[in-house]
Amino acid sequence: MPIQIVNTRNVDKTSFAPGLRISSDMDLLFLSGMTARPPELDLSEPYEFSDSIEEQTRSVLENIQGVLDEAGITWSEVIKIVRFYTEAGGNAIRSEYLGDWQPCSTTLGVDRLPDPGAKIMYDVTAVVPRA
Amino acid sequence: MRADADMDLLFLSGTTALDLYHLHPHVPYEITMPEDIAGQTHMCMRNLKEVLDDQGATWRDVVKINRFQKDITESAAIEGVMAQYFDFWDWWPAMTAMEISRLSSEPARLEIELIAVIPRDV
Repeated sequence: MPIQIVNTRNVDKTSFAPGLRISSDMDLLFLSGMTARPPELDLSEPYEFSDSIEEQTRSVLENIQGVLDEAGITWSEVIKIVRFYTEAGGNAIRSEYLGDWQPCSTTLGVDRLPDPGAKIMYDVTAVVPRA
Repeated sequence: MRADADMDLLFLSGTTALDLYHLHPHVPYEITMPEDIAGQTHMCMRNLKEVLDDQGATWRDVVKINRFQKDITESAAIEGVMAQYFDFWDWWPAMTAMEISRLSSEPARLEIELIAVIPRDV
């Protein structure tokens, strides 16, 4: 397998991979930090963030989905997600998109995100298999 | 840090002193860790080493470390512990440290994530 989830113990007790190994030549795709703000919207344009962490999370995931689509890959090629949040929640929605896939995960509570009103930002790394 | 050969990439999730395998969402009875930063650093390193060991990698294969700390002034104490694993910085990966407001559990003061490269068997 070119992308191998590392499980160090034979237990099913985690919702993310402790590690993930890339063992063939693939392009790396780095996404900028993504909030609920539509990426096509200019940063100088006002954007009304939802008060709901669940709704914001869904928008974040939809925004990322758009980038993955454009790159011709799926969530199974996402190898790492760093979540920055000012309000906890939305994990169940992430599972809707990731399904059984368990990329590496790091979660960090922060005081502020770059866009006022944003409660959650995902920083995603993916791989793109070479044709 | 520059890696200039064909290598496998090994990404590790961020880990605090909390045991690598724990329930999500977190449950209080699993959240046990020492208060002191040196003890927590050792436990983070233990967790990371479990994954490196599993993949046949060593600390010498680590190329990038991100440290997330509740208190940036604890950096010296953290690095003092980490030095014991990195041969007293005989091997020194690229490293970034930052202070953040919350980690995955209340008592956690430090979270470490890293990237390692592993030479391919030819």
